Amino acid sequence: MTVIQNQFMKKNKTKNYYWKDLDIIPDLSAVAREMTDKSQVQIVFYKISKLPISKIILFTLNNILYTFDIFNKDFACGIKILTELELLSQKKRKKIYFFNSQIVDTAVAFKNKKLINNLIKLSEIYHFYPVFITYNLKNFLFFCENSGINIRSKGIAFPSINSISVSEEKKLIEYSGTVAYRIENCI
Amino acid sequence: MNIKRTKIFVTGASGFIGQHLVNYLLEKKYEVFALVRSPFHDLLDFNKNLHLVYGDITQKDTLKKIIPENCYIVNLAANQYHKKKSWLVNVEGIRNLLEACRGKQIKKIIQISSQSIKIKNKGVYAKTKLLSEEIISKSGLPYIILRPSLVYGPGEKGLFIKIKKTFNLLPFIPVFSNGKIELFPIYVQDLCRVIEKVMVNKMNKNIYDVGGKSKISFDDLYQNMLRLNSLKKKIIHVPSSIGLIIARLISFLPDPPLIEDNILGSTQPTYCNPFPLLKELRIKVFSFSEGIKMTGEKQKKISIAIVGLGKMGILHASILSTFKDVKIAALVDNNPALYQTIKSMGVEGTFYSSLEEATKKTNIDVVYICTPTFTHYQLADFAIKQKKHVFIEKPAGLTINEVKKLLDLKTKLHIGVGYNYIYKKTFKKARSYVRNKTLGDIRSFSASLLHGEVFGEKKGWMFQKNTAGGGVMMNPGPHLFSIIQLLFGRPKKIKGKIKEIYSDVDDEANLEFDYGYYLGDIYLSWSMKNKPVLEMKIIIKFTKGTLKITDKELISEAYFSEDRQFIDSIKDNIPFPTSLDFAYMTEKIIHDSYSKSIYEKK
Repeated sequence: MTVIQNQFMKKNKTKNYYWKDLDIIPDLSAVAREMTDKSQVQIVFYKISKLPISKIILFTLNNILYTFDIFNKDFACGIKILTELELLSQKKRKKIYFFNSQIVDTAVAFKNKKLINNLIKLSEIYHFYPVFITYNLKNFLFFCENSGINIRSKGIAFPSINSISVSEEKKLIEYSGTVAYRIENCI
Repeated sequence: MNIKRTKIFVTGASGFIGQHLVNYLLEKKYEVFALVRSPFHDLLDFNKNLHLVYGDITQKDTLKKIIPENCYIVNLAANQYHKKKSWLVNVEGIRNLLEACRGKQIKKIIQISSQSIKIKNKGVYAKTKLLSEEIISKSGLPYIILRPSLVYGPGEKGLFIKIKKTFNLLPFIPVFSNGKIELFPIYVQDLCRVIEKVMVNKMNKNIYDVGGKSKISFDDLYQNMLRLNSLKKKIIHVPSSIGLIIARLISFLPDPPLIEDNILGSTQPTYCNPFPLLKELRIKVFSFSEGIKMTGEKQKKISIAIVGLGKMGILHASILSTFKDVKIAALVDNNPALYQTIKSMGVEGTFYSSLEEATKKTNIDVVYICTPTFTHYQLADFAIKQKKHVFIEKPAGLTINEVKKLLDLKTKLHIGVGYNYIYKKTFKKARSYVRNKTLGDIRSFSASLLHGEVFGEKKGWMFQKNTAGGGVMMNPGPHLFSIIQLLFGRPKKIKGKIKEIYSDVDDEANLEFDYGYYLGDIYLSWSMKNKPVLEMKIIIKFTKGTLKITDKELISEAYFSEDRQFIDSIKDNIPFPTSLDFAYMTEKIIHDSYSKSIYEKK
């Protein structure tokens, strides 16, 4: 059992989920599987072709401003498109989505502000509550603070191996204004 | 005096001197109360003698609450360039601090001032610092005022780093006025020692110049810094009036690279005399050449070339980017179409289309080989012959002969292979069970590696024998075989059946390993339905019980731990757990399994 626990909630308010039941976007394992016989561009076109026409129009309108970035093969834009296509392909959208730690931690490692901002933008367009999963809690919060990324009132989830034991990290969470969740029993 | 009970309150603790001083005092077992404005600072790891106190020297009421009784105070808080804030922090701040100290039996206040207060034509920093000295000296509290010359040393902050950053921005080095003004640069660790000594000594109510033992001119200072950073740039003397105009023009920036006080301070003499204090304290300090050499050594970064910008190359680049002692200098891939995307990710480093070109044009210490298996040998052989440390993603070679040939090079360089499962806590714990015979002797074991990836013909290098060396046994199989090597070693006899089902390489393997006293059953398949995530399971039956080990391939700390250990093994010249020897033993099991099993083609 995977336990998502709000760091500042009382224990009886702990929410229990299976790790597999968390709605993690984008699903990079699926993309990696598809990429063994398709290129990135082919995957995008394949995913668009599977959408109903109304969603294709919505997707196109949402991404008109990103044409230049798409043309330049911008990484942050590529991830946004991939994530957005995943959201559009779902019949019923969820109220909470967890952003894949591989994407979040890549943004932290390379200090890619645009990538995090694009994900926040998606949460605003599709009206869901964003939770960033990260194995680098402290670095993530530092990065957002130093880059001027507003994560106030947004969620941040971190595995129990990085459990907050140091008052300094608790202070960082309070100061950043995020809602922190701890993921227990994950690998 | 019991040194462990001595409390020291440090303001400006997140600044350049502050960080060094807090760490120094903690090393000396003092109890440190470090005043920081926000939790976002690079200060220190957790230490039981450190109390991070959040506040600001401009907040009188907060200071009253957080300053402990019977402590020493080191005031490093200062604002250097902002006109209003300089008055607020440097003048009003010191008034607040002194008021908060009343009635707290403060042992001594060490005020860190500046040489700039001695210059004739003063800027805002010098004026406010002078005023703060006057306020302290009239306070009636025990105090010592230190006026350091230029303070330098390793770190990401401070005037020295600011100068270095400016070097990188400009095509030449501007030195204001004639560059002959002299100063006594002091190594930051020496300043920390001076502060400690001044604190615990009986000296009181006095003002001292602080500096290193050698006098140098600004021209000499910049020449030395150019040498330290291996830069070949020309020094050009610029009239100070032009410098002042530039400083005023850029003063609106949040952290301007040049401020009026820098120019005023570097163009007027201060007649610094650090020797009376050094003599009184009996402290030997470093000369500038010694200090700058130490700074260079501490700031030296290991330079890395990442070869292959696919999934694994990017993964290692992202982890290595977070290490402060590492610099990604070169990104190598023969597909230039990738460059734009990789650059947009934020990866640092210059792009090259071959390792040969990268080694010619960039200074590289370590080569990370993250390319398809068939290229590993050639790249590793080249890198080793170029005297570079090498990290190869698993498997090390296409054939066991290739791994043997790399071993035969008998290099003293560090060669690591990316068997990251070895660094997972689960398997480390399992190893200790086996080694320590916690559950007795092994009676048998079964091991499986399951993945749902191949359900039809597949294209790409990973699905061809001549480019990948095999199928499930060669990728992802090496993970399982590395754990078998770790826990049980090399089997005496091997038999089994290896099958092609969908692709032109092995999709499934059923093996039996004979260890003499016990047997092991091994099963690998990458054509398992409902296994989207790679799953490894090992069950070991011991004489006193059974150990079940399961692992799913989700991103864990293993890659981080692997890269950290590899970099540390190079820095400290210690063995790396998954060396080329380990890879040879692991891959020998794989190749023996191929040669001793029945192979069924499609």
